[in-house]
Amino acid sequence: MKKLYLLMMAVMVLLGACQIKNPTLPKWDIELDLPLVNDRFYVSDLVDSSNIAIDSTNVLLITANGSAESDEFGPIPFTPGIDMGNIPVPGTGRELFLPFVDDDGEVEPAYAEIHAGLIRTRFANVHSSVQELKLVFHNIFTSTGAEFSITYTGDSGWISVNLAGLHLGSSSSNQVISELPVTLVVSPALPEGTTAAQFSIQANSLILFAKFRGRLHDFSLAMDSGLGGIDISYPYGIDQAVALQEASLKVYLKNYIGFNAMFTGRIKAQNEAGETRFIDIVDDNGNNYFAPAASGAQPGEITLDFHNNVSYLLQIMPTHLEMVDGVLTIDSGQVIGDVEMNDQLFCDYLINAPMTFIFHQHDIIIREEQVINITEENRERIRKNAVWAMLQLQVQNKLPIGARARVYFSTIPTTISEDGIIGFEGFSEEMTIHSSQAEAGWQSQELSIDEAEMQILTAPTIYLRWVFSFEESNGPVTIYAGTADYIHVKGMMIAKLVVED
Amino acid sequence: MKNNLFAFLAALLLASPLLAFNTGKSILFADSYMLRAQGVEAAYWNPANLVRQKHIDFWAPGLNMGVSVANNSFDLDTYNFIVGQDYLEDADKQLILNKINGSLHTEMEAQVSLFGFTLDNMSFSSALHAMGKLALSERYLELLLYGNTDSLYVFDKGTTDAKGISYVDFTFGAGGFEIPLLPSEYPVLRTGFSVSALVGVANADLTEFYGYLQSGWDGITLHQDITLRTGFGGYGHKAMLGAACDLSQNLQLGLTLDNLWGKLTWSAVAEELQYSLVADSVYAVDIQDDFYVLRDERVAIADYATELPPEIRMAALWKDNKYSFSADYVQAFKHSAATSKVGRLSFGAQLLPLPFLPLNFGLALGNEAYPWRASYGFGLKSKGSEFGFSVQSIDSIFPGQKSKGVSFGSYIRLWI
Repeated sequence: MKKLYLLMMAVMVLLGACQIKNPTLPKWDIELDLPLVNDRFYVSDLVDSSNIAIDSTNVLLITANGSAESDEFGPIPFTPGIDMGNIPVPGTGRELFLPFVDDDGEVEPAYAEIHAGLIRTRFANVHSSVQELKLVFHNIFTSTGAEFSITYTGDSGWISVNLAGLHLGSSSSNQVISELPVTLVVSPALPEGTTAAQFSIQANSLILFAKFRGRLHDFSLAMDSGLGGIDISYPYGIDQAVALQEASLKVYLKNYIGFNAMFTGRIKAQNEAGETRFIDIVDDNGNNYFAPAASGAQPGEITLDFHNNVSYLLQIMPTHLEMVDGVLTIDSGQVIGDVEMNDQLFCDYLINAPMTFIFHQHDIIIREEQVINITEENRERIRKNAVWAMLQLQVQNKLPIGARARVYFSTIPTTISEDGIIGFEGFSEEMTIHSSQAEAGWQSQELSIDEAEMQILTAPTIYLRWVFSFEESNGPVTIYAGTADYIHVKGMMIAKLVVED
Repeated sequence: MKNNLFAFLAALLLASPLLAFNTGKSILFADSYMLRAQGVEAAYWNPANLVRQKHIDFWAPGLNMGVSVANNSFDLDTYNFIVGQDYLEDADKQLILNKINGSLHTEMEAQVSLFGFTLDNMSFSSALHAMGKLALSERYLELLLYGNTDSLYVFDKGTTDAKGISYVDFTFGAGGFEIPLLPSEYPVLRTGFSVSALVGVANADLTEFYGYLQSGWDGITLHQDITLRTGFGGYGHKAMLGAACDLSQNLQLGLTLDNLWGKLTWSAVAEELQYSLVADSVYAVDIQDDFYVLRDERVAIADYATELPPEIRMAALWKDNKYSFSADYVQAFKHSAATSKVGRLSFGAQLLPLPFLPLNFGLALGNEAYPWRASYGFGLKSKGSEFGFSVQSIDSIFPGQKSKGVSFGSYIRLWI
């Protein structure tokens, strides 16, 4: 029985001897896996509203189009070369046919409106009985349709008459005017055998036609200020990163001139660095292009389709394209055509360059900056309790080209200089990304963050900026821009924190 | 954060088993008490033993009580080990987690007499009962100790739960009714009954709990749905039928059916706290946006009832002048805040080395829901009174450093 009492006593002693320590929680560390970012950078994001597009096979295209126009045709020059002196005028009058042929043989008018020009006449030794003496042109007309005439005014010297505003022939005529029929009218008529006067005429200076119908032979027109041009802009500065390998250029010409015209010239490409390249405007066989004549108000149209040398032209990633050294050469032969001094050539450019590139190393800076806000409480935890941290990146590259990815962690909004230098306060980490052929799945990389870098994470806001630089490709690479063409980046911050009071 | 964490863990460690003990004195015998309860207590254990008696039995207010706190994982040694460390290494963390089998259960129970007396073969009494239970998934502790190193953490009601109920009973019992017309060679079979009017004080019940935390390269996804039903002020009832017979001078058998028609209806205030948090694939760069959807509503609901499922208890008691031994087996027909479908067996012993000095022992065998426990108690007994107290160790043979919980019971009984 004593044992029972002893047992009871032991129970009481055990109970009373229980030691319960003060509730002081120890420290320990925990590992926090914090997913930071999950972004897909689609090639199709390169598509912008102007110069980057996707074709029907999802190939990324550099495309550019624009319109340009030539200088105005200008007045058509004509030099008739008329110089006849001391032609006796009988007392009964006289008819003459003045030769009206272009000294250069280029212009044969059937109808022309004179923009500028002079004619000089002189009546000498006029008989005292002559009261009126005048020269009538039968195919030069005033604006009222009356025959143009010059009347002797008593001056025996040379007089100049302005031809501006007159027109030659009939507007619908298909008959080339090669001589000017004129009549010298004497009033009153003198007895036969009497000479009424000595007549001289000169029309050997340049006459300019504002509107012309007729024939042009080897008529060249230099387009000194070119055909305008188009500008190309490249998003993300990819013009610095790639060299195009193939491209096509189409130029749609609209000819408002009523003559077939041979078009010669060059296409000039210039890039941002000022480098220029030229190609001749000839077809794939090296022949010049002919722009068909306009018909009435309808322009003659032709497509200049360049293939052979366009890649050479575009390899410098031009930011400006234009036609230069343009010359229109017209030789109408026996065909009658029309032209006005303000007629022009219009052209539409269309450049399509599938993104088959040779890549150069160049930083492509992602436009959007990512922002991470960190609460004061978490900042304090990082400041006080962070033991170490590590950045894990996983990248899946669906592109056939490798790259380097660099991510900047900055406590201030990042800036980008004109030279593409990132301005930031913080640290950056870099990883190598293999091409999809080399590594089709996820590529992982662990990047350690040292203590100083960790303190960056105690800022209220962290700004993340991604920069990609594609590796130099050994040969041309075609870039597609479908939904499956992207670089997928996931970032995870792994931190060890101490849990304590 | 750490203070909150400690308070939470302390609350867990100070909660106790929901497997209700009816009166505080039963702790002396580790619940093997059905045929030992006499007087007022018999109405709670087996009213068949409310036999006619000339004296009046009094149950002192507040002094007949039992309190129990326990958990299924940590003993005092583990607690001391944890708070004694400056820094928990991985091995220490693993040691802590190894103590937990899927879920950290913590339970609390208290029973306090308010009043009670007997008249002849009847009794009338009242007692306050309070029970609470918290369960926390081991995965929460893994998160707490290691961080989110795994990709998926699932929390469901199987491993995380909370229940609590408190009520006052007003119990009338009558017994000692002998079954007539039994053959004379049969032992006398006594029967009795008790009915209780229940006044609900408060109730909380986690009716829905599901959540998961997923973290990895696809971001952090957190879903948590919680529905907590609460009620204040209610009414209810239950009844007990009991039978007992003396097979011999020394051996008695008993059978009870408790919680008959038992339920508590919460009517004064009935509410549901509906909490839902959803955050899908969150990355740090998303955090400045509205990256989560939170719904936190408290809505009034219709009256609801807490069921007290019927429970059957069988017991045997052998006693002579100096010794008594008992065995009880109890099993409910349903799980509830106060009952378990898993049966449990307990044994009790009382020794009287001196007629006025009972020594009491109890051993309750454990099961999957109920840790084993050992009880020790002693008292003093005179012609008109008795009192005593007991201590019970949970999951350890002696109360001390290895115990995962402890119960205390006390009793004072007077009769005139």
